[in-house]
Amino acid sequence: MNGVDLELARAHAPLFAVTIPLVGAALVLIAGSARLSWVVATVAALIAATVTADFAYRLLNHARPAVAELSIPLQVDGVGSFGAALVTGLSALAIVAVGAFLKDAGSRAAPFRLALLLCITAGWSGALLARDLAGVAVSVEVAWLAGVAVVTFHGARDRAALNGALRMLTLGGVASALTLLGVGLIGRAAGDLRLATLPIAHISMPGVASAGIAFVIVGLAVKATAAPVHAWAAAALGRGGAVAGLWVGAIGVVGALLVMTRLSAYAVAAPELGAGVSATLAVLGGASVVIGSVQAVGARTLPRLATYACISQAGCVLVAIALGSPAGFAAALVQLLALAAAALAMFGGAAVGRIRDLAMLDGFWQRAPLASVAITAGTLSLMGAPMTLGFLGRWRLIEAGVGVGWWWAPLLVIIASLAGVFYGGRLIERIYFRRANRTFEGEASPWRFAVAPSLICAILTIALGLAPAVLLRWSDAAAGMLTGAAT
Amino acid sequence: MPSDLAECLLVMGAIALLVAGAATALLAPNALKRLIGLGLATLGVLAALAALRSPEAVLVAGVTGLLGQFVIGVAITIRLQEEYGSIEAPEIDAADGGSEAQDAPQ
Repeated sequence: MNGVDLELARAHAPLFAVTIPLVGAALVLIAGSARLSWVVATVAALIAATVTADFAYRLLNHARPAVAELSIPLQVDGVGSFGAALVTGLSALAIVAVGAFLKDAGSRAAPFRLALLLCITAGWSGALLARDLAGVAVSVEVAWLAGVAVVTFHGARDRAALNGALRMLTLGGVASALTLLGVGLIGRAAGDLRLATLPIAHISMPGVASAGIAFVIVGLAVKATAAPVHAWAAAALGRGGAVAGLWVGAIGVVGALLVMTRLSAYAVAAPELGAGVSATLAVLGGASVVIGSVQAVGARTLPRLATYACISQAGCVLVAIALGSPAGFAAALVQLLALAAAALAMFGGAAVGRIRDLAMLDGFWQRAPLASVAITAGTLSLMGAPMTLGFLGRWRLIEAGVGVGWWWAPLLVIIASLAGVFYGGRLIERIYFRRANRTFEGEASPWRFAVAPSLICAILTIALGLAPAVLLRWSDAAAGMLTGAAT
Repeated sequence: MPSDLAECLLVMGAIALLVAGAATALLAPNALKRLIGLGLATLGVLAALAALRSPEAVLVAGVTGLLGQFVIGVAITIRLQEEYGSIEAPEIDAADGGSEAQDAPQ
């Protein structure tokens, strides 16, 4: 490939971010065998991650990358590019980790599951790069239904996953209906569905537009496990197995929150919609912090605890978005990276040891030291412990909240961190200070090294907490390019 | 004005269908009834979108989503019947209740 071809390919990076996972999914189905399909899926995910990371790197360093004019309705902005790079990067790590659990639902099902995972990546990437609200709604639906199917596949190993999948389908289906209705109402009131024109649109019916954006936000909140509309989360993620934990619990939740961040950035800039959007997000965020924290303290299984802890962290993200300022959006992006890394570390570490109830963590350090390190780092980050990425995100939220006079935002951060000390301390005490009293059920084959992605996330959680300069620069740059500056 | 009134009435009727469908999807104990409720809710939204003169792309997105939900929902319902011998949520919840550590009461 010569330089001209390379530049042409780089100009089509937003298109490739969506199409490479989809082409990969088709090839995975053709590959047939479990291991070969895993190799194909890994290659596709790595290529997609490289392409989007390269594009985001150039955009966020103000290199003004060329973007090809296409008839496909895609649009590049700071949050979308940052988010697509985050989603595809996480997906590449998670695909590697999934290698250890490929045959959980049977060898014949492995290619189908891998294809669905790539569809989840394509769906969230598409929603983050879509030009209009219709594109966002379709992409989110693709990612969501693929997630439901992934949980359903785990029913072959644990039938309770089917119950979780049904709850996910019904609640998510109602949420999708609300989202579509919201899109229709916004289109009727603003006369246009393009995101870039929303801040400057002449909104003839502000009440209708406000109701529309509220429906869209609530519909997405269901998929982001925001309380109190998170009823599907414990059933689906608690019993959906390792693959669902990684892909729906980590990537799906982060993807939904990123899409909410992007849409809110455009909506907040519209004078008729800004106040309503902020109020809706603030209510959802506050409820998520309080309800998620209380439920995490009471959780008795590790997947449920990780789910509730992520809900609490998602609440902090929603509060940061609700601020509506560039500092708030930058804080949200830092917290989303922290959430993604912590979730992948915790769900991945738990999957390696096939941990379900918390008693299985007793003495886990002696049996699976690397997985223990991953779970510990993820837990510390969700607690907001100093020198972790979680602390950095919460500190940025406090700065941004105080900056606009929202004094209750630091209070929510303190609630989330105090609850984190309770449930996180309990996990760490079990892992390091108790004697093992159960047979180890974890992965013993060479595939146990699939814990590596969780370990990478654990290292990232600490390293970016200690040396955050680059991350802060990129998050500030992304927040400064919210409204399609790069189109 | 008459066309505005007609549009308003059509949208109100569609939203009533959406609410009825959503309530059925969320509250019905039977998995198949939940699916039917989900279908009604989405049909209500499609009717509202048509009344609001939404672009065709949005309507096509809604129909595609409905189809996808229905296919996966039927698959889940069949698997539930195979595994539990029932598609009633209370019976399924009761069967699952004994096989997992429950969270502490809040």
